[in-house]
Parts: sequence; C-alpha cells; structure tokens
Amino acid sequence: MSKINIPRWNHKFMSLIENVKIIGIRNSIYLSYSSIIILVLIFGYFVSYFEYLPFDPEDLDLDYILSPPLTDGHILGTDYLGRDTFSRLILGIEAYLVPSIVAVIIAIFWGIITAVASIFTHKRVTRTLSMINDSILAMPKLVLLFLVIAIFDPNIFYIMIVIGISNIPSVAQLLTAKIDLLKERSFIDSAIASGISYHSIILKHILWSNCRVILFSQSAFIMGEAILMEASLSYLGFGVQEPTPSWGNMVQSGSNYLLQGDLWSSTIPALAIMLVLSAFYLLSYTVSRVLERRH
Amino acid sequence: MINIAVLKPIASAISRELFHSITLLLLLSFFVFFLLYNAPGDEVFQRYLESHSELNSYDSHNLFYIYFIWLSACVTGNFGTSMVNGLPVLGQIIENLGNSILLIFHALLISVPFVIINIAMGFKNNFKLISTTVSVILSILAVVPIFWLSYVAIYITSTRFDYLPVGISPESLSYLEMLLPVALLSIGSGVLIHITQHTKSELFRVLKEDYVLYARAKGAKVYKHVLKEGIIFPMLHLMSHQVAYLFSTCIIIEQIFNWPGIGRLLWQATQDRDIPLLLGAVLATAFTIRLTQFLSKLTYIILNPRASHE
Repeated sequence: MSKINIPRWNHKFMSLIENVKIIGIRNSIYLSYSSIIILVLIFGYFVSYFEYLPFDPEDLDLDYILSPPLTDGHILGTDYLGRDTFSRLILGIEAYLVPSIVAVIIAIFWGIITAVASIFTHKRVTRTLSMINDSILAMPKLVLLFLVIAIFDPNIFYIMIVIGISNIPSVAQLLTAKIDLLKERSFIDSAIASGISYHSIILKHILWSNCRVILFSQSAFIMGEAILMEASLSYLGFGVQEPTPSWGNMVQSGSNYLLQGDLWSSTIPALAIMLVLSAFYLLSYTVSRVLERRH
Repeated sequence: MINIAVLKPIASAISRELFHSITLLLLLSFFVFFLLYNAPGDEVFQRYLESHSELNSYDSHNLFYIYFIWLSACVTGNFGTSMVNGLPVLGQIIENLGNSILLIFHALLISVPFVIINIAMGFKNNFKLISTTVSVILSILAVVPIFWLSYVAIYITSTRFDYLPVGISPESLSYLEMLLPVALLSIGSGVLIHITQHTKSELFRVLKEDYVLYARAKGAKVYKHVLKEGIIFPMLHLMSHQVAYLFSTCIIIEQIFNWPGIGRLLWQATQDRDIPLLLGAVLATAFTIRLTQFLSKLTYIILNPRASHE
C-alpha cells in the first residue's frame, strides 16, 4: 500500500505573505496591531521595573506646568505639577498588568470547572450552578466592586479577584454551550470505547482540541475588561492613589484642566487606555476568527 | 373566545420565571450579607447592626438568625438609617433610583430608531458606505474611556460653542440637559454598537431561513414574517442584558454630570463607608435589574407562546 500525500498547512516553512493570504489581510492587520501594542506594554513594564525612566515620575518641575508634547525633552508633555507624562505613563503600567492576569486566571479556571461540573454531573448541580451564575450576572460589576471596596480594603488584588469572579458566568456559559454540542459527537464515544480515561478525554479532546479558541479569546477579553475597570476605579478615586501614577488617576487629574483648554495632560493617558483596550478586544475578536477558520 | 388550554403553559412559564427571580434575589441578598458578616474586624458589622433599628436589640451572633430578621425587615422596606446624615435609606434610594432609570431607559430607547435606520441603510447599495463608516466610528468611540469622552463632549458643546447648558437642575430636568448624558451613556459604553451589530447579524441569519424563502416565492411581504423573529426578539434580549452593564457605566456618567442618581449615591456611600446606604443601594440596583429581565422575559413569552414550552 502506498501512502497518499495530503498537502497540509505547514506553518514552519511558510513565508509571511502566504500566511497573510491564508488568514486574510484584515485579520493580519488586526493581529499585528494588537501584538505590537502588547509587546510594547510588556517592554514598558520591564523598563519601569528596572527604573530606566527618562525623568523621575514624582519630580515636580514648576517651570513646565501643563506643557504640550515635545517641549525640552518631555516627549509627551507634563501634567499640572510639571511631572513628566511619559515617565508616569510607563510607571502606570505596573498598576494593572500583573494584577489583571490574576483576574484572567480566576475567571478561566473557575469557568472551566463550572462548565464541566454542570455538564457531567447531576441535574440538580447544573441548576444550582446556573442559578449562582445568574445571580452574579444580575449585579453590575462596578457596584460589586464598590461593595468589596467599602467592606474590605481598596487593594488591587481584591479588586482583580472580584473582576475574575464576575467574569466566570460568561466563560462558563460559552463553554457549557460548546461542550453540550460536543458530548453528542461520535469521536467522544469512540474515545470512550478505546479505553481512554475520562479526565484525559475532558482535558485533551474536549477542552484543548475544541474549546481552546473560546478560552484564548475570552482571556484576551477579560484582560481588556480588567484594565478598563482598574482605570475607571482609579478615575473614581478608589484605586491607585496619588502621587503613585495610574492611567485612570492621570486622566482624572488632567480633566480638571481640560475644560480650560489644556487638552494634553488628560488626552495622552486616555489615548493610551484606548490603544491598549482596542488591542486586547481586537485580539479576542481575531483569535476566535482565525483559529476557527472563519475568515 | 380565548381557549384556557392555550394560556396554561404561558402561566406556568411565567410562574417558573417568577420563582427563579425570587430565588435569585434571595441568593444575592444572602451573599451580600455574608460578605458583610465576614468583614475584617468586628467593627463594620457591629456598626451596621447598631444603625438598623430592628437588629440592635438582638445580641445573638448566629448568622442565619440575624439574616432572617434582616431580610424580613428589608422586605417590609426598612433598610435602616444612613450613618452619615441619619436619614432613612429607603427614602434616599427612591429619590435617586428614578433619575438613573430615566437615564438608562432613554439610552436604550434611542438605540431603536438608530438600529432601524442603520439596518435599512445597509440594504441599499448607495448608503452602505455611510452605514459602515458610522459603525466604525461608533466602535472606536466605544473603546475610548468614557470619563475622558464626556469631558471632551462637555468641552465641545458647552465651553467652546455654547450649544448646551452646563449645569443640571435636579428639580426640573429638561430634555436638553438630558441629551448629553444619554448620548454618552449609549455611545460611550458601546451598548449602541453592540445592539446594532448583533441585531443585524441575527436579522441576516433569519433572512436565510427556509420560511422566508417560501414567503418570497409566494409573493408575500417578507418584513411581516421577519420583523418579530429578526428584530424585536433579539433587541429585547440584548437590551435586557445590557441593563446591568449600563448601571455600571451610569456611575461614571452621573459622577461627571452631577446627575442625582443611584450611581452618585453608591459613590458617596463608598467614599463615606456608609454601609447601610450602600447595602440598600446595591439591593435596589439588583432588584431593578432582575425586574427588567423578568419583564423582558414576560414580553417574550406573551409575544411568542412557543417559548413557554422550553
């Protein structure tokens, strides 16, 4: 018997242009945009970690109050106390980047456990879990955060745990709908018949092979949401406190001067939030389209 | 003549939904109370018990016992008194909740004509470019942080060109004062573009169904068959699911525009650590959201009796 050679998608030896042809020009633009922004973000995190900042972010310079970009070494201008916006922007990455990964891990892990438990156990468990999910969905996320901030501390890790918990239902609902369709398929029956253990079927055949698209796109989405929530809380005065910079409280301190016509000191952190959010949302959108071959 | 046998599954579905809502609110109230009970240090919980007239005579610390008394007080409308100004919580909530609902209701309402115009423009080739451009601009505005967008909107409309009034008078709210908060709540939170895109994709899915093809072949008017399934039901579903998200965004909008709503109350209560007021406001918000979801489900079941068999 001779083997039939089926042409396969061999990504190792494919040129860049061929890759772009396969996933489409629009998706490749989205992917490259979001990956560039995320790489810059990680680079900025390490720059602030090793303190290679051009100016001291808490150093007041009263000669340059509210100056526009590109004045005397201040690349992005200064704020109302003459502090360098660029340095504060980089230092502000520390406020959310690592904590929001906590939110993603909590949401994905408990989302998987909820979905698997509600499919493969008793009907009563399913009903209870869906009830708990609905009760989390009936609460606005910011209101839940306010409750936790007032009762406990305004600690960033508490905030991120709450954001993670409030995102469990959306992950669990998507996964439940997908696994519900998958468990009827014949490849699961054949896997059971060939003696593969149940946990390897659930982990390998169901979760990794068929649900990883949902997990990737949801984790990018939750990351974006966590960043937005952190910025909103800092804006409202419950997150990071002055003088430690966070993008939310930079917008807040600048917005008092916006109505007088000094646009720059609040516009630049707002634009930074917009770029990062759009990067994560586009990543979540594109990953699901590319990996499910819907382009 | 209405056949009683037809109404029976509808009534059973409605009662099931009502039971579901009540259980959910009980679960939620227990969760909130449990969080308070576990607050670090005895001080927070003790101060809450002292501010609540029904609770301060009991010195038992059994969780379920206190929860039961607290719940029965809440059901009769006694949320205790505020720690800061000493006024009853219920009166403050009733004063403020209506203003927030007004804002959210209008934000959802303006999406209806917008969606219809956008969909209608999508069908005509001449207007396709306009509809796409509007969608792209709205998607970008949805990602811009709302607390910056609203300052820019105030700067452009009030400070620079003097089109709109800046302040808001809580006694007599005019539509001109409401215009900017409502538009920002709808556009800046991304609800408008979300509803538009999802309704559009749902409509195109319905248009490919077999019964639409049959109706076309018969020469019947297609919109009659598509309107309910393709536009009304998805919009109802999407709107009722966006209410919780809109309450979140409402807090920021009310903070910026000094709007006397529940969001400002929540913010003030969190700032002062005024636990009775915060707890009352949280429960009122959850109750409102659950009520809107129940009403939307009710409308759905009445318009589409087949859904009661699910």
